[in-house]
Amino acid sequence: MAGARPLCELAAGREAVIRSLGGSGAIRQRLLDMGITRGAELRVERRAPLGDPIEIRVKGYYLALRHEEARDILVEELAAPPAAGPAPCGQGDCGRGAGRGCGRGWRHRLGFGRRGG
Amino acid sequence: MGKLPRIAIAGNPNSGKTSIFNRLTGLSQTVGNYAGVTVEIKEGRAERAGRAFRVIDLPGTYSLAAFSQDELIARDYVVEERPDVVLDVVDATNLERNLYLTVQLMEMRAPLVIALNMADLAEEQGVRIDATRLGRLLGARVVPTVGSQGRGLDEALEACAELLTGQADNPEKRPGPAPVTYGHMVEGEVARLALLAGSEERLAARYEPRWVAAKLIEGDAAVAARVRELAPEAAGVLEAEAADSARRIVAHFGADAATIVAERRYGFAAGAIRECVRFPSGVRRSLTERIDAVACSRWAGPVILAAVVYAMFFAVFKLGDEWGWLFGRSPKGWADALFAWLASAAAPLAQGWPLLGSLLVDGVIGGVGGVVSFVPLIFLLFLFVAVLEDSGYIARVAFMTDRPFRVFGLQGKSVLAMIVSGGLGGGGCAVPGVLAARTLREEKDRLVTMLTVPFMNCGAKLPVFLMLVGAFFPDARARMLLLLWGLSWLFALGAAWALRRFVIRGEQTPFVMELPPYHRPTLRGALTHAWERTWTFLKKAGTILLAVNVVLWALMSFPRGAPERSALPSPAADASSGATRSGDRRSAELGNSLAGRLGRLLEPAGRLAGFGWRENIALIGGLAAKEVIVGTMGTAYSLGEADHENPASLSQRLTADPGWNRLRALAMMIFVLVYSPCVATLAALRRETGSWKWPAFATLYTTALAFVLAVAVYQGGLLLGWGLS
Repeated sequence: MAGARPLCELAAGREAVIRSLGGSGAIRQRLLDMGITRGAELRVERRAPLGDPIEIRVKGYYLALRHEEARDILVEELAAPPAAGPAPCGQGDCGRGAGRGCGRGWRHRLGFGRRGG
Repeated sequence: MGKLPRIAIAGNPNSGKTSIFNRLTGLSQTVGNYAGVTVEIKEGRAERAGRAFRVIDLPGTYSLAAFSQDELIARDYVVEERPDVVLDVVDATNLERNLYLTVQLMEMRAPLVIALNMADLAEEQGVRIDATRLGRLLGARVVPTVGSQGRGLDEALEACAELLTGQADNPEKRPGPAPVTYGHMVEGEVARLALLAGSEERLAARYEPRWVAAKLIEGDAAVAARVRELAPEAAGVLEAEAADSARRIVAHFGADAATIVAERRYGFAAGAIRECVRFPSGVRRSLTERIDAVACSRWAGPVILAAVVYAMFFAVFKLGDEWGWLFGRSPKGWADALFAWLASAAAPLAQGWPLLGSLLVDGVIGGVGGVVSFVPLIFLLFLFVAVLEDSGYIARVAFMTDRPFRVFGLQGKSVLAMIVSGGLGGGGCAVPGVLAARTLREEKDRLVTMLTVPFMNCGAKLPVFLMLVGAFFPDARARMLLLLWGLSWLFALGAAWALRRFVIRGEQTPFVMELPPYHRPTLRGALTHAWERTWTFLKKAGTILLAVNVVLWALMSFPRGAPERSALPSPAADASSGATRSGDRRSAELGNSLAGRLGRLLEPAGRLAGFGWRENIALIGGLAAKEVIVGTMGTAYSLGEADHENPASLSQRLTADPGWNRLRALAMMIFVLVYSPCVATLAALRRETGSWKWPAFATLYTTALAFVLAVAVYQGGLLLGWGLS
């Protein structure tokens, strides 16, 4: 089984268990409040048309979060369930490397970084 | 309403809290005023079986950690105001996360009644909940309800009444919910600290000691401050002990105390669910999943979004304004007709008392009519927005458009406000646009959105553009309008970026948003919602708008009478020396008014951008509403009474004027595109931000920007030798 890695690297359709939650302050508390707790299982439902944010299913409901936030959530991927298979095309992740979605992107280049660099 | 027992409704967003509140209170709602707070708290009166209650609708929150304003308000209400009953609305189809809030209310030992809402949907999904057992476990009555149909609400109120009777019978000991246990290790730390907190009399009288203990261990700053206030001597010890506890928890679990406490709350909720809920075996793909597989997909998603937005825009303006489907007129047409009739009814007055007549017709009726004629549009817009919100689609809009908008420091939901304000280029209005920004929960993003939507090409700017484009760019109409549309987006997004960078600074709000399951919106719910928002808008914006319109009227009407000698440039000056055409007289009067004098005072500055005194007056008049610009210019250019509002004749007049050229027209159009939002928009801004600061700022920064741009275009054009032909 692979080690823990950031949630934003997971492809659509994959399932994982939350191992730890980084970050601090209000955003961290918010993620906790939304049920991002250690041991909880989640499934990446899809990515938005431009790849970010992502939608996950956790604790029986759907949650959208940006890569920025998803980067702080370390998860351990579960083996792909036999029925689901790889994510179908059109679900937002075809044709890109799984890890690519984690780029910092425009916001940082333009100076909107939340953590002040 | 002061003596009635108070029921505070708490619950997650999307739990159906609002529809329960609306069902309980009907039309008796008022918006409560809480100092320094922009979040609205609604109150109402509920009556069942001869008992009356005061019902307070707290902001919907996922938690009571008090990291957001909504949470702080909800929490403060529960712990400081101490409602007699807290009615916790819980979504039965999403129990675990909803019970997380319930657990926090239990920690406070709030007198709880739990409404297990959307019980019908849960049943449909095959989720079996043993409500009685859950109630025993939580130490509170659990009543299954269907808020959208009003089912179970009588029972819920009955449970509240029962709780009140229990309190009355036993005033010493308020019956509260079961204590929350925090499990291995953490429980011991909380219990120990609670013992210390409980021995402080003033503290223990106000707050549940176990709650204070858990909050101190979590490191809650607001609670720590209250402790210092109520138990100044013991506060030091308590905080030191809490820090020790937190340290031991970190050492034991390898994670910080806030995480562990949150996990234990979820653990408590999960434990209750294991005991009382049976889920269907086998996973079924829900309707929501099937819809989202298309509605949020990479290619179809944006197309559907564009179609939905276009349909909304189309419906609002066609149904509200353009189509005469309601007995031969549109709703806005009827409103306009009503005010036209009122104006004509007041016209005879002008013969006897010209000043009073003018005030009534131009100032009051014109001013109130300006707002009321928008109401059909605003109501329709709110209706569509309510449907989008209630159905859950608006969350998908935010999900899909978040990425492109984030570049400019906005977020996904801003797109709706922009489009309503005229973002599609074919009309729109910034007043509903500012109000549509309400769907943004994050204060800073909402503020930036409200400050930038006035750049959009609203319906009132169009006549100005059409007139000038018609006069000076007759063979490039479509291209010019396209250019102006592109510029409006460029300025709006650019301004948003700059505001976020230099004025409304700070961390961009994180985007962690629930995508609620789709629900079929109810007509009743959507109508209530739309009407409530429309009415609030009318009351508050209407009064401000009326006042400002009267002031503008005064500026353009005083001092009265013919101007003295020939202070005016021709042809108005010629007119005063003998010509009798009413258009010339009106032009002269306007030129002599305070607004006219102001217009001439501003001439040196205006000339830089190519404007004369007439344009200055028209632009000042345009502050009331951009539609006024064309009419005022018509008056100022001495068009006859009959056709001074007809843009075509003004176009001809300007084309014939040697002082006018393409460059001047372009500079003017850019100025009109960017400069100060109209009074109605400013009133809406005042209403939405709760202070004059932001409307004042909006006026200044847009006008300054407009001036700089217009001067740059005009002077740059002159340098390059454009437009002189």
